[in-house]
Amino acid sequence: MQSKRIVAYVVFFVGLMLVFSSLITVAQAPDRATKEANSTTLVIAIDQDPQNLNTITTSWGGEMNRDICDTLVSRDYQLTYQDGIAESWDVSSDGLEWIFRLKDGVTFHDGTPCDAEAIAWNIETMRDTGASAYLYSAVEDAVAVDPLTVKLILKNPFPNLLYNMSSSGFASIISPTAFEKYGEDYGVKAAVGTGPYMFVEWVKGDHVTLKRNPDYSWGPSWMENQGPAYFETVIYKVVPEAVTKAMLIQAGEVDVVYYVSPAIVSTLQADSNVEVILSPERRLVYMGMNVTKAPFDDVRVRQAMCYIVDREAIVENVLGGIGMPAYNYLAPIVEPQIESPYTYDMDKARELLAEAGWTDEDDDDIIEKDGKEFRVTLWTDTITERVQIATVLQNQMAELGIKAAIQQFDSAAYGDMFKTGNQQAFMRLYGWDNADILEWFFNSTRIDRGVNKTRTNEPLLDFMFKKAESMPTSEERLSVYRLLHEYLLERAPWVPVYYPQQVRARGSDLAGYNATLDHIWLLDLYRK
Amino acid sequence: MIREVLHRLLRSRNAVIGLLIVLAFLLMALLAPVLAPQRAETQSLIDALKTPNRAYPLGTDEFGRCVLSRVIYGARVSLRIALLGSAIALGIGVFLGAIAGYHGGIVDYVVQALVDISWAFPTILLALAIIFILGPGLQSIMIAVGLVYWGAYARLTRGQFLVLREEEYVQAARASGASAFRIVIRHLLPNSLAPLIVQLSLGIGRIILIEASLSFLGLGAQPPIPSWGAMLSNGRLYLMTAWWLTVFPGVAIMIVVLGFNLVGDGLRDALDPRLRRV
Amino acid sequence: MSIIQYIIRRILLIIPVLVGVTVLVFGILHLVPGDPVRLMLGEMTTEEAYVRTRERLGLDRPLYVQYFSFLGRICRFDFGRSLILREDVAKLLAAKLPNTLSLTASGLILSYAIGIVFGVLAAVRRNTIIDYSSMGLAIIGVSVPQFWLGFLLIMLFAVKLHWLPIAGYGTFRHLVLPVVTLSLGGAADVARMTRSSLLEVVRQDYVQTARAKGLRERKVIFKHGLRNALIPIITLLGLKIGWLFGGAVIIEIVFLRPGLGRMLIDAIYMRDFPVVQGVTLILATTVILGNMLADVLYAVVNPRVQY
Repeated sequence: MQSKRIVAYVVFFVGLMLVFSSLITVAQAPDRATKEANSTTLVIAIDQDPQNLNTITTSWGGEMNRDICDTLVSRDYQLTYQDGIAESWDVSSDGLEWIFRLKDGVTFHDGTPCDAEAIAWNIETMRDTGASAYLYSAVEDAVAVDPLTVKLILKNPFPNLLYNMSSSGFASIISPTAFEKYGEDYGVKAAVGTGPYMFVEWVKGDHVTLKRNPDYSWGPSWMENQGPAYFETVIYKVVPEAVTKAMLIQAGEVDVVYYVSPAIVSTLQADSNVEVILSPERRLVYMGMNVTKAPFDDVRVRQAMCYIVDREAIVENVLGGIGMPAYNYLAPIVEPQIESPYTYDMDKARELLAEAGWTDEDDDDIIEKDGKEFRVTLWTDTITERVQIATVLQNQMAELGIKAAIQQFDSAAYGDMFKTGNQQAFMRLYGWDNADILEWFFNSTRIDRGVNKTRTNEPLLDFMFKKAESMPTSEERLSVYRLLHEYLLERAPWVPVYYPQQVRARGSDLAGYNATLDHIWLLDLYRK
Repeated sequence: MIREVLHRLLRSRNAVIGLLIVLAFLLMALLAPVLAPQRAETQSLIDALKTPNRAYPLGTDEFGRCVLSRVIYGARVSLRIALLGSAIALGIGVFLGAIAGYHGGIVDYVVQALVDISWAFPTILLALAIIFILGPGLQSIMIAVGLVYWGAYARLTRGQFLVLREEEYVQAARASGASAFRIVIRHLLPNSLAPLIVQLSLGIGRIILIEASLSFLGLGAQPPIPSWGAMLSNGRLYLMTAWWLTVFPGVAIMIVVLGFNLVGDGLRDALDPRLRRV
Repeated sequence: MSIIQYIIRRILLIIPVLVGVTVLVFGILHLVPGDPVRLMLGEMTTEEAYVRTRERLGLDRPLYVQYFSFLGRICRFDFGRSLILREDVAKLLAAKLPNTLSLTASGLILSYAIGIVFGVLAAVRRNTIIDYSSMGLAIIGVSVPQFWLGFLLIMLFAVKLHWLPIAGYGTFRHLVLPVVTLSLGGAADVARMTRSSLLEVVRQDYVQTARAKGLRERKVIFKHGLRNALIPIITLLGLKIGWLFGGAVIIEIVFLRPGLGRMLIDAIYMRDFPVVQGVTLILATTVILGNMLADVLYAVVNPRVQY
């Protein structure tokens, strides 16, 4: 009896094992041949055409640029710097000399080898003539020591160099021969890098087509797939209208959607054919104020504005929970983070306004000072979410007795309007994951060009920015930025409102979906 | 004569229904502060996107604003745009169309060229320019809409005049030495009214929709002003989740357009000079 | 004056109209704020690169110089090169025109077909259920915005039923939803106009005479009524072309069709002057030809008309 029972147990156990192991084989990813056979064409919906795929002449080269081109350094999911075209690197103790060792055998799509010469050319061309020259402004000289070694000599220590080198869409490494060959047409008729996909065509206002680079074997080491990508063809489709975009993925006409509107998330979440991916972002939506024009030239008035925003309620109700309340000027993933003094406190706002001399003397529900009513114009672009926030702020201001008129501008006019200096308050969004964004927006040198839109002009700030960017180590740089961030919060040129959440959607028949802040990586992606 | 026309108008059942609809909406616009449960711009973020319920009979939008109140206040905005915009278009159109049709020749060519320019000119560009010059606001929208739409009336008037001026009774009047002004006012214009009125009654709906299209492109009424067009265009993002944001302003537009059309039909019959001669 | 002479004059009229349109477009584009170079290069660029690009594109020259150099090129049928898309405008126009043309032409035909059928039915069966439902349809046609109708049709026929595709171009299946969306509004005023002018004409003396002679009602309407009733409908033709194009802008955004309308909007927002000018010129020429056609048809329908 006993032995029979044992046998039964053993049989049961072995059976169980078999079931499990078969389950495991089923769960195991299919092999490359199966993946490639299933994955013919991938369609990705984006908001707008790239301006140009030429990263030398255009500051941002479009979502597809990261597929066509590699960067010297990559950043993984945890945002740590990893290998790109460069295998490894070293920096001298004084921070003035960087050595990059390149991967062997990397070639551009046109056959040009991606060697130290090509890298040095990229860095120097960008620094001297590029739209994003700031990336390498600290570089004095780029030298090809031998075919696989590049040496950079810096004018001053610049710990942010790796960040700049890993900015996809900005620091793409392109083929010098193709750049020469195509001249003006480079970036439109051709774009040549070392990436997993090769440029085929760009039909303006409609789509960009890419095809697989069969020789690709130098992907970042943190990607699972170390060979060529699985999808044979990738089509980036331009879909400007948010509702159309949602319906396209529901109807199965596109596979992946960048930038899903918060208002549509719940609809897509309810659809079993669609997977919605929510992840933290590096963007901030804020209301800026012109610190040189009344009434926002008074720091107390600006501080009052910081208290009128019920950020939790906005995110929860207006944005359907898609986003995070923002209290300081840097995205949550960016150091240095500062505890902000500004909560939602209308009484405090009223107090500050009264302190600054703004009270309702004639009981007309509009506050005045020296007989002048508090009326402002709040500028915004036409993007739904910004207009929505402007509408909420306008309502909150009205409760304090401030009359705010909203004026919408199309994107072309909007950027230009800031050069006039006529702005009072304005809605803006930026997307960046480095503290140097503070320098970008508050350095007085950028007032005339309309970048420093608050028109903040403080010599102390300018001096500190310069100091921060030439600190020898990242830690020291951050500690200066911490002081700067604290000081700026106190001066309150911005009212931070919320950090948009990144919302992307994909068909549920896709597997191997990997994404970082700025890009959906296609290398591991395949159709089940 | 006006009494006669009115009398005729009130005899038609459809016209009376139309008149009642239009009057009801005009009253709604006038009495909005009394009729609406709240102010159109009052926000209550906690109540965002509520389905129609007892507190909010037509639901709420993404700011927790009462849709019923916004539809009621929206009548003020949209009817103003539609009526004043139509008035501008009709004024320019009939005036230019009349001279073109009556004089013909070089005047006709100039007017035709102007009509062609106005139709060939991208509406958005025109709206952008007017908003830049006059600033954002309802008056800019009305003028933009008027400038987009006048060509239709000009061409209709011209077309009618071209035919009518060859009619015997017009020739007779001319032969008897009547002044051009008299001929236009007494003979040509009254006989051209029918297609103009039909066009106008449809045009009012069109103009509300042009404002919706401008809102779709971000150039319509600025927040928090509740125009029906802006409500439709802003609500499109919630088409799949909150139908009440677009359906109610849409229905409002439909009823108003129906009203104007019924009145237009009635008026056309009432104004018909041949019927009057009977 | 004969029709031929009229047509020749009308064709000569095209030139001042086109010059007028270009002056206006040029003026407005430079009047409203917005700088294509800034948009090309983005915010994060150096002043030096900005100035260099501006010079390279010739945008630093005085406005009148820019305009006349543009005009000079147009006279040689050289539409110039897009600032943003870096492509010859003529080539861009040639690529997009078929998509817009197939949409608007089918829209025009369908809206006239639906409109005339419903209009005649409504007039013949005046004050019956047919009349009322035709009116109801017209009301819906003029009071439903195209983007809304488009989204509803997509939701029903593409997302729920999977019968028709949303995006794309080239085949008949791709054309169905956009054309239906575009024509419904257009059919509305044709229907109303047809009905109203038919009723108008039917009351006229010669029709009354025909009726008195014992001709059947239907025959009266078709033989005498419809021909004369066509005049106001024909008047609408040029206008319709202009409007259909305006509608095509929205349709092309909603249904993701790469056409002139979408290109125009993008170009306006990017201040891409040569593209805006190119599209506007094409549009203007089409509208003028449409109006001319309308005038010629006038004369054909009504021989009493003189020019």
